[in-house]
Amino acid sequence: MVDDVFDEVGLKVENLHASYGAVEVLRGLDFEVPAKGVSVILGANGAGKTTTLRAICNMCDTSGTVTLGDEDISRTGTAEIVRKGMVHVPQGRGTFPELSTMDNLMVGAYTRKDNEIKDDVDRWFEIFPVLAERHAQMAGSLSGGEQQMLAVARALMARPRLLLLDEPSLGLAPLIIEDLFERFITLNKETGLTMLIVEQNANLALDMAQYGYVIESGEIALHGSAEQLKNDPAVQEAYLGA
Amino acid sequence: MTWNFDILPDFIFNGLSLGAIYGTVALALVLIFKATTLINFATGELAMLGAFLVYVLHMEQGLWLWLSMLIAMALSAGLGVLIERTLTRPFDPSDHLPVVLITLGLFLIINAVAGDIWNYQVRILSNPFGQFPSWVPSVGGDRFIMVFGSRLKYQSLGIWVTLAIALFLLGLILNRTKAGLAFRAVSSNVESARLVGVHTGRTLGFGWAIASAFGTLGAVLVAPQLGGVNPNMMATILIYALAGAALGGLDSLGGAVLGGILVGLIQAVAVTWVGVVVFGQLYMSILQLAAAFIVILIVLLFRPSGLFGTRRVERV
Amino acid sequence: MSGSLVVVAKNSAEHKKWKYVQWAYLAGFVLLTPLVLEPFEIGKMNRALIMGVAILAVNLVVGFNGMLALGHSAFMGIGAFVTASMVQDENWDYWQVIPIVVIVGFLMGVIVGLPALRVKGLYLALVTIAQAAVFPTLVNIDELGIAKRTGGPNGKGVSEEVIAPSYLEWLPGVDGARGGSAYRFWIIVLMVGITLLLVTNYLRSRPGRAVLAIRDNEAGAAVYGVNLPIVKTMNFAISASIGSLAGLMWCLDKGFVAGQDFTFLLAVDLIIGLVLGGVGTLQGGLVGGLFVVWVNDLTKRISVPLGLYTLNGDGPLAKAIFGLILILFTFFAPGGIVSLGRLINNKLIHIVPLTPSGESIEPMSGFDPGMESTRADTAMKLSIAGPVLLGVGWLLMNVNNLVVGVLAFGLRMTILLAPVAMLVGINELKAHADGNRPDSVKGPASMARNLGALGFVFVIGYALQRFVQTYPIWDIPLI
Repeated sequence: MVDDVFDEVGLKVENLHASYGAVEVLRGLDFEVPAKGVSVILGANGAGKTTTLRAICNMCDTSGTVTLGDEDISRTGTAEIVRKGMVHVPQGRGTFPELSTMDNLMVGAYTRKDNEIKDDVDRWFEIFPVLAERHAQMAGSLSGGEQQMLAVARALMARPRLLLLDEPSLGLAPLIIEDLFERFITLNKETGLTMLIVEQNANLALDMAQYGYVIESGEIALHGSAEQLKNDPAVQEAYLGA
Repeated sequence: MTWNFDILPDFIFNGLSLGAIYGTVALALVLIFKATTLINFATGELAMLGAFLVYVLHMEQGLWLWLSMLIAMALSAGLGVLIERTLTRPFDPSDHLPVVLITLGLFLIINAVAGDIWNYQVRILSNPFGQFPSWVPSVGGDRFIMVFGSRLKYQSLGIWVTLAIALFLLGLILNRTKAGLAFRAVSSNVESARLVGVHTGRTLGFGWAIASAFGTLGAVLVAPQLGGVNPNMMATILIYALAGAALGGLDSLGGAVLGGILVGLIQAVAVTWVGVVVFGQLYMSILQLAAAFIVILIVLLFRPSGLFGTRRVERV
Repeated sequence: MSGSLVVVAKNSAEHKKWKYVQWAYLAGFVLLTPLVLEPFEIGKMNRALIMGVAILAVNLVVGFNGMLALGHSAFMGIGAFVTASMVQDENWDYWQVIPIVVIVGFLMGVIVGLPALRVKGLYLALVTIAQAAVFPTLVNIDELGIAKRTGGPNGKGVSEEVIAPSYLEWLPGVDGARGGSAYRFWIIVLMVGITLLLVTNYLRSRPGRAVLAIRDNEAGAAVYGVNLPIVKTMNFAISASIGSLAGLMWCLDKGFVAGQDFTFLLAVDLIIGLVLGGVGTLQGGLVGGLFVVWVNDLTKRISVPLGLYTLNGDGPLAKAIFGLILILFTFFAPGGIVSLGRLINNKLIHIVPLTPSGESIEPMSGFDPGMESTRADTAMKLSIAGPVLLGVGWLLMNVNNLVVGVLAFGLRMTILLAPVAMLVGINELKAHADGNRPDSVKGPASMARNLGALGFVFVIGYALQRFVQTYPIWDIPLI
């Protein structure tokens, strides 16, 4: 399946295996994420979606090749991968609850050495005004949606080339989810940021994505453009509730 | 001996200066606990080693005492980094037993090696506040300042000022530097810290370094009260520091300092009072240590998270 | 499975035979200890067994419940002082003190354990380390009659020595000059045996299973209705009472107790013994106790000729070596000596489990290798290696170097495998007679049998010789 479908590949994954102890969760995944596009991974609970993102970031026992741009990062440490330009927003947001909103953003810029960090903070405060209001508050006291925005903003502080989002809609009210996803679309259109999103809410995800993969039992079961997947009867039945 | 309220301020001052030292060592414990949820039982011995470094540099090599202290703090910081890198990093931090065993092993080795080099006699180490400047008002040639009609030792004042400066610097490091920010991030959420590109191992090493330096500072400050340095000097200090850390909340840096000071006060004031009023006699050394133990039990019974610690909910 | 010298089905007649062999080795060691060793060495064995019981107590909390307890020296001290006081001041017999000591230990365990075990985390370690540090100072308090009971800084002696009553003089080794420590050895062995039996049954009981469940998955155990604080505290209190019992044995053995015997260093010795022996194994405590006492002795013997400063007879070097051993074991052998021993044991004997209907899970061919058996060869090598290594060990014994001496001792011990070689040889010959082995097996098998038997005879003869040498046989009372 690894034929160059896209003009420019942001991330290329070949034969990715991952296991927790003796349990093999991913059994040889191959997929590509187009540069400057939004791709989505769909799948049922336990299919291996979260593990895919963790495996890409080298957070569990893995084998296989992961290429970011034209650089092999399959043996690069998690912290180093951030320096290569790929940032992961984990499931459950993973903010630093004891740190202030501002400090959370500053940690996000940990890998940067330039002096435009303050400008970036202002920029994301403009896009997520609620964070500006709460800049001195402890992250742990923010609401779920605010924390999700904080997590995304924190990831953006690293100026990533590629953003991995793990179930950004988890635990959020529908209105907030829509708002959040609209911001993602704007972000992608304005900055050309490549995104790979894992999402259970298939409708929303396919609306914003250009390309999608369906994972079943640790293998890619289906893939295609967002339009194709939306019209696929199997996908409709299993994930779109049609 | 009867209870005389006139001497109360004396005991309070004494308790505050002892407590400041306990707070310093408690800080060393909490710095490591906060980042790794581990209690480093070798904290006291590392501090003792630092005090001996000062002894070697200052008493044997004739270096200026404060410079010796700075060098010793830097060296023990380096040792802390080395220990973190070689001995604790290979283990899964969520499994407490191996790392606690490692720190116990270090406790034995450092104590034994120090005992082998310097043997177990008390060796005099100059008091950092032994030489007092001419502007200090003295009573009959003694180094005291009169406060509320009681004598405040110049040494106590010196300990407070030193600790205040050290805490201020620690605050600057933690809140104004990138490494401090990374340390706070790792303490808060290790996995997320890794995901924003923080090298968690290096950051924990940084925590060990600061902790070891603080321990050394505490040991040097406490040495004059013990008559000098010896390999077993920190054995009881560590217990008081543990009590202080528990009282303040094991994951609160400010709490550690306040807890240590409170334990010092309890030791100096409450125990003396109990000794005089209840037993009609002073049982200083015996009851003081017991008081530390009782403080730990009471804290756990009524407020396990300590006075300033965060309550963490363990999820099933 | 291949690789093992002996493969037997669980609970089969042959398995039982090998179990008897293992028991025979254990019984041999226990029997020979009071007969062969010098009185001061028996004293060390007693100390090792007492440490073993205390380590077992620590293991109950650390190994079987997953909590960190670092202060059992205090429980030992409480047991020892209560015993000394009751026996010396109240003229009680030691056995009458046992229930008191157990109850006092239990109550102390509840007092210390309950506050610490209500909350998750390292709090028990924190409390117990403080407890270990505080205990030696508490015995010196003059008020409340404490110092009168404990003897204060001078310690407390029990003036009446424990010697065998006339109707027990038939016990091996119990007689005359060596009788005291040997008789105490038998009392301690009996108490160790009973304690082990009780602990085994406790761990198999309902509360015991809850204790293990908490170790394996605390949250899971809670979901299944295990009351975490109660079960943990109970377990800690039981452990404390066993620790106190070890204290009673200490007093019984030494006849003298002092606060400085029960410091934090003793608590650390217990932890080291635990790690050396094997965390979470019943035998680990006894093995660890042996090692702590003998390694301490060894390092003392090394440090004195080296002119190293010694304190309390232990010397700083002993502590450094212990610290090093602790770190090395944590890194390279977290299962302790017991797990290493099991590794070797599994090479020798492999027990195949059976299905509920009584059939072996592995195919019979794995069980009985038939014509392809290499066991006879292995047994022959074993039967040759035993005497050869014995000889080498004997030669090295004369080198005046402690490390070589220890190595030599280990080499000489390989002769103990001779009976195993003999039994395997006999088995293989029987299989050959049944037509299950080729004729080529006959030579090695009979050689293994004969050489093994010779080695076996040698072991028995040597033990007898040592026995007669140190304990003239004509002194044994025949009736």
